[in-house]
Amino acid sequence: MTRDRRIALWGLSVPLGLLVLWQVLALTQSTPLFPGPVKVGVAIWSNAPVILSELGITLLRAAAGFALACVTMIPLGIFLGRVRILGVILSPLMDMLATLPPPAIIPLVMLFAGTGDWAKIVIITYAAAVPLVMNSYEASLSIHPMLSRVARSLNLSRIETMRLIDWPSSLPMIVTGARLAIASSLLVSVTSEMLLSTNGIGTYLQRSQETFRVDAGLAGIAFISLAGLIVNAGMARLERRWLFWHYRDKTGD
Amino acid sequence: MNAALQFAERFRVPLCLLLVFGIWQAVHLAGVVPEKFFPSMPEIVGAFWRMLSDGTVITAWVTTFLRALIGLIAAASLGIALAILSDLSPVLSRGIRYVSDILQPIPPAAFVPMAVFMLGLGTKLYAFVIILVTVWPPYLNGVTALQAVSPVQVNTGRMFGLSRSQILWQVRLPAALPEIFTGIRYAATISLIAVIVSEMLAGRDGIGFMIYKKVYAMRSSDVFALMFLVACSGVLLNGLVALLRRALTGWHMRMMERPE
Amino acid sequence: MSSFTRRVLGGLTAAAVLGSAFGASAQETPVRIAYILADSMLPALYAQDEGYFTEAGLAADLIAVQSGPATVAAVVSGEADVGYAAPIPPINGRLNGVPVKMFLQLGQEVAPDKTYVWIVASRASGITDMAGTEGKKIGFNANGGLCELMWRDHLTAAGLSIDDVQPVVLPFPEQEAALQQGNIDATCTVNPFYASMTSNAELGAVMLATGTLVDLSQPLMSDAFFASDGWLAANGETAVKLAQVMDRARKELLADRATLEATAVKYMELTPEAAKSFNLPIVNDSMTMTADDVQRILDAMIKTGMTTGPLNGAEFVAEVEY
Repeated sequence: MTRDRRIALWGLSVPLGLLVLWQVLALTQSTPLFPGPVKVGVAIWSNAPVILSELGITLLRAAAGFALACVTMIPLGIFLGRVRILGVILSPLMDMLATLPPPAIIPLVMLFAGTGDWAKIVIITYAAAVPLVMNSYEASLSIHPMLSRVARSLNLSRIETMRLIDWPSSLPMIVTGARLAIASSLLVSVTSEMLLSTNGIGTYLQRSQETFRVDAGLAGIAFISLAGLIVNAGMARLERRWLFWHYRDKTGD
Repeated sequence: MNAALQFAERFRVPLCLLLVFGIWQAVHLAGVVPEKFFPSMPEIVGAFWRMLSDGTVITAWVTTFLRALIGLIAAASLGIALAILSDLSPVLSRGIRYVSDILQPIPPAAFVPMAVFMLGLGTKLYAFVIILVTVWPPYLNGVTALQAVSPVQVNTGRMFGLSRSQILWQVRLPAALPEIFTGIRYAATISLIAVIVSEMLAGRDGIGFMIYKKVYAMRSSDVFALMFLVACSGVLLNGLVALLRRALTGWHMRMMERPE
Repeated sequence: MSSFTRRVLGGLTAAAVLGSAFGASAQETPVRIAYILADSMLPALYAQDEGYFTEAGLAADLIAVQSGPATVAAVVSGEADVGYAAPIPPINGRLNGVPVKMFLQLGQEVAPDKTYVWIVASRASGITDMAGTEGKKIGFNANGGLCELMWRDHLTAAGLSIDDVQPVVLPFPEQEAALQQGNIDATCTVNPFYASMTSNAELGAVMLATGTLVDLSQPLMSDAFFASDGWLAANGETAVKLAQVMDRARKELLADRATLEATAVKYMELTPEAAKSFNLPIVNDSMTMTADDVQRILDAMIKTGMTTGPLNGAEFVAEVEY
């Protein structure tokens, strides 16, 4: 325990060292467009209320888009895994969609979904969809044949098989997909607000750029990163709780 | 059934394109969106052909694709280097992990406007953006994979009298490669996106700049043609990574007896 | 060798040539210009094509960027020597401690017929005049740009303020679709988008206002070259040469309609039909800029609440005689 703590503390020297390096670089530049961590710290302090309220709007949208993607895309992925031929044909499509940059997609989405909340949620859903479909597809392909035989010998019905065998055994992989999907919904929610802006942290960043407040913009970025950290930590926690059996197997072998 | 599956497997890219084109055309014909903003598939193909025959698209594509490729190689090497560094020292490992936890959630699109102020519009900007977003998947997978190398393999190496660094280079790194490649594959997609976004924001050339110009000229068929090209480039880049993976870690796939 | 391979090889060679071109140009003075793709920049692109920069001993490198603030960033970070944008980004930059000054004005507007920016509503929105925009969704291309100033000034004249409408920031190319789909009710636009909107029968565009400011009895600067204080102090001669090259190109393009249209087709990728209605936004023959030119914009910004005064126009200008 103490050794862990010591490592954790010493490890802090890496990000701290980078901060110092950044500060030194900033001091050699005379322009306000290259603020150092001290200035950004001040900006964080003075802009926190605005940033937090904008960030709240963004996170709500990201959550809505992610939830929508989960509800529609996980079943789709499993379905594609079961109907092999569709899955095979559609797998390059997933690669293609994954490569389209959001700034190129957004004008297209706007044609169908407008510029309001709905448009942004659709874009977030799209971004979250790719890892979710891919992983649930892969998961349903790689279910161990042994498990199906177990199901048959236990005389489980089709529904029971899916609920008791397919679902839990593909869960770990789906959760990995969900993790990637959460990351990309956060990323894309900010991007979409920067391009179709009315409110949210993306708009805040855009406005900071347009008024040359780089320190305020970096303060906003710091909060995005913090939000990402918290969400990821929470996710890791849930994963440990729900998938303890999976990890137990892994560490026990 | 099996023959059909094999057929689908072999021709999945053209089949898939055909499907996408079909759906696109159906949406176009349904007239949900005014034709002016949603051109028909023949128009898009025609636009692509025009750009192909005047040569503009090829120059731009080569530029963009090379940038993405170079960026990917640099980021993958850096990611693996970071993973190895992390493996050498627990303190460094923790430290790099802190930095990656902090930087990873930041969208490139958020960073670019600020980075433009700090780094300008040149190579520095491209390098920074691409590496910032592409380095994490190979790094994270590398760390996990290096740790997960089975003790049996490591002990075997030790029995043969290999030193610590020999074990790293000859036993653990090769064993970790397949998983690292999964990370690189993910990074390939992101690097292409990052290059195009940077080209859109500050460009002289490349597909991103071309899209930007076409958008401002209201040439929607050209824009969509370029978007399809980007999508296909993603598949191509993934294919290149898969080839390299097969060359380097073919033994692993044969062992696992899983095609792909 | 298939024609495809040949094209790919051609592309590769072109890329290699492009790459080596960066290292060239020894005796010419380098001048890197970061610009947004807009009408009054066309003479510079034309001059580059015709080799006028080289003739004047300048090695020009033209870098397109996406927004006015990005041109300021390019100049301040040292990636570019000169920036081209609407006057508001360099003004905003200077207000926030970024040391840049404008030194040439490339475009102007004047009432009644030389105006190059419009506020347009869709027929479906039912808006017929500026007062009708109250409570509606209005579009403009960026915060802190000429379009924001235009909205603010015209709203003020109609007895409203920017708080009485719902602003949506939307790039120019997406506005027409957004208007037609009912996502916004009215928007501020420029050519070629304005021409496209007015020819779109389904949209039924209603023009509510034209010209950045309500009062355009005097010419109002719409685009400018700017540079950092340091560059201007050290490169006075280069600035003069740049002005001379621009002057030459502007005169030629203004005198020759066919070349102007061809240049617009080439660089703005306009269709030849769209190019027929294309005009350079030039009112004053001279590009020299005075403190008064900037003061009018500053006063309008202060009056409409875009910034707080008092501000002195002279601080934003470096006069260049050519």
